[in-house]
Amino acid sequence: MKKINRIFLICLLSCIIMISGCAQEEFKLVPKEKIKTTNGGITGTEVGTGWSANENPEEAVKEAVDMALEGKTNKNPDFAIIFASSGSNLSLILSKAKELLGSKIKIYGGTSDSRAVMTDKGFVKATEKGYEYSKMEGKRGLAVMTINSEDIIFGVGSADFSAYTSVHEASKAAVINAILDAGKQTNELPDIILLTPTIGDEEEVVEGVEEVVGKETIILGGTTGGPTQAVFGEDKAYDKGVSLAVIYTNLPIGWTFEGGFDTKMPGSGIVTKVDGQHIIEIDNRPALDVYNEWLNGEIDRLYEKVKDPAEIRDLLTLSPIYRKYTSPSGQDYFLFSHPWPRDDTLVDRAVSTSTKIKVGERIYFSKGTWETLVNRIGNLPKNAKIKGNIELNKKPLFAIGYICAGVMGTIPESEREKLPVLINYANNNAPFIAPFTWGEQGHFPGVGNKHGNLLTSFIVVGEE
Amino acid sequence: MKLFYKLFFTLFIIFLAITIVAGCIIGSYELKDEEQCLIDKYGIMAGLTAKEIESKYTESKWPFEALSTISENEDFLFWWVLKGDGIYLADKVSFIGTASSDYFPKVDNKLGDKVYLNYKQNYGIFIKSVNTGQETLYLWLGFSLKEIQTLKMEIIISVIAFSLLSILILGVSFYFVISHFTKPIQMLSECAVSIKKGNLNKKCEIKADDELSVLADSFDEMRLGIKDRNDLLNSLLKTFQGKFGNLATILVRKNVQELVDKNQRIKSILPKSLRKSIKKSKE
Repeated sequence: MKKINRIFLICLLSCIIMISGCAQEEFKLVPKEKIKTTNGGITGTEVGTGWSANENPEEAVKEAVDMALEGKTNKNPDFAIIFASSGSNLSLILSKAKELLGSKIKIYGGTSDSRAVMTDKGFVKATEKGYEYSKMEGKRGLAVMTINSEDIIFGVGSADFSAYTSVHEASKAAVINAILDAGKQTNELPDIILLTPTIGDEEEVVEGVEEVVGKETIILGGTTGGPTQAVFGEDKAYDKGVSLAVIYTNLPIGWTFEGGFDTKMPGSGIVTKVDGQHIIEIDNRPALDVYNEWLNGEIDRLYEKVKDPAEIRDLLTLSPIYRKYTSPSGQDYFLFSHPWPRDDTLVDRAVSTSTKIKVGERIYFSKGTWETLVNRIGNLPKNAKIKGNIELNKKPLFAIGYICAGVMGTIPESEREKLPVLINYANNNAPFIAPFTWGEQGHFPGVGNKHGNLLTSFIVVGEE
Repeated sequence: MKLFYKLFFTLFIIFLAITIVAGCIIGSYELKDEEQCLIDKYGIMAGLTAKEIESKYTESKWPFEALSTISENEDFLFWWVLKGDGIYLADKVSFIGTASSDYFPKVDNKLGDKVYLNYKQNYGIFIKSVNTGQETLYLWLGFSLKEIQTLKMEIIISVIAFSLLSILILGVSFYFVISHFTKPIQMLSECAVSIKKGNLNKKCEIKADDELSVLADSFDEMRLGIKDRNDLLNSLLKTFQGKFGNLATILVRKNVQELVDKNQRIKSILPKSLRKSIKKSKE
């Protein structure tokens, strides 16, 4: 029997060895240190960017400002751009930023979409969900850009809409204040205006600003991100208002204002009835019926399939409508609008947008993919540099972007983090800041400044 | 039962060895097939994606959708696009800007299209060169060999399970087969013991049609022969009863040797042949 036991034991041991030999752990990679790259030399302009995901607004500002000013010779910059994810306490952020950067600091900015903000240092993720669903999460993201320059003059202005008779007047006052803040006269037009209005009144804001600076002055900006929105004023934040900055410089400036959709799709109609930002009828038929036809019944199918209105809204981001503008030189420009059913149950057949489309305007149907949009965002610096005659392989001083939150929403979460990487490649790792906005404003040469959706604006300031 | 165990273990070990060898051969073929399937799968993906990169690169675009689809594979580990040694683009941003040699010092991408397998750490890398026209990039697709290891485990478990099952089945079947041979031998042995004790009436019978039944028949004939002689002796004793008194009965029925040992005088009345045999046995 001893022999049998021995044989049995040998068999058992062999089995254990064979099984344990196969049961190896799964292979896992841990990121290593990045290859060091050299930065550009010191110029007359010092730019820094910083970010924080701290939920405490004061601590977040400190972290972000410390990061932005790290290694800088001048710790009191002239100008700061601050964007905080929706839901952040902007008043506290403003007072803390002034405390850290000095009371004379010129601050421009507002809220970014609740989901994220972005700088060259990375994609700062805040909430998981967007729109109304983000309110419960309490996660925050903050991005700061500080600029100290001998070659650029900044001026900031803001207005609380409730303090003026109209949005138009408030916007005029804001831009005049900004020009005066820059030490200029109102007849001295800025090279570029950075604009951040709150949602719903963007067209009036653009018109108000244009009344002061004219249609040919470049306005680039983005509507504050939501669901709860605010902009920075001089001493406090406004829930309904505008924050803007004017830039005067002799440095080369390149900019771009573009969408990323296929405009060769069939489907177009004349808007025959509107209600504010809602399209009620297209070609005298319920707007949703017409739009659904252009989509081959996709909205009804989506409603049956996903039921979640936010998801439907995100999916429709890839099927926007657009208006066409032609400049006197014959150049066509496309102004996109993000449509979604006004009624979550689809009983009411109106289509909502966050743009004011007028009766009689022709709208067209377009299509896009998230891949096109990612690549489009990655190429923003390149396109801006080309327009500004800035060498493509030359590192600019800094860049400012406004990226549609709806566009970001269509990009799979795993891919969103690649956005700053792609921008950095095209921007030669120059510092940049980019909020995710709920509407974008930009310039069409020969046409004027317009407000649209699902667009991106990008400004690059190069060295002399 | 010793014979049974000897036979059983000999047969079992032979059977087990055959099972393991056959399992290993079949298993290794299956593993090779699976490995080739995995390599082919990633090879096709790498080829198609490389083509897409080549076509889009000139427009400063990347085929993110195709790359994202690769990431959905169960055995997918990573995708990297390398410029020289540096990771230019990756599925996970944290790897971008790091050096591939920091992770895989032994893998050299300069050799172009190839596959690198590491069974120790359970991964494989398919390397595909991407010719953009301006520069050569390298697409690395990392995949887990977990599936192959799982298959290996499945084969081992199957072999073990099959062996255990064969112990059971072989045990039962061998019991019946070997019993067929050992039972008659045991019965013959019992018969012999019985004859030794003087019981010559127990029949030694095996109901079969083989050599063992022939042996049993011969054995039984031997028993019958002894029985006949014994009966004859008994009848002789009966005949001589009273003429030689009880001496003959005593001599026949008791052990002669024992009687001689107790009383040497008995020897003198024994027949010559018996005396000789006693003497011989003593020697």
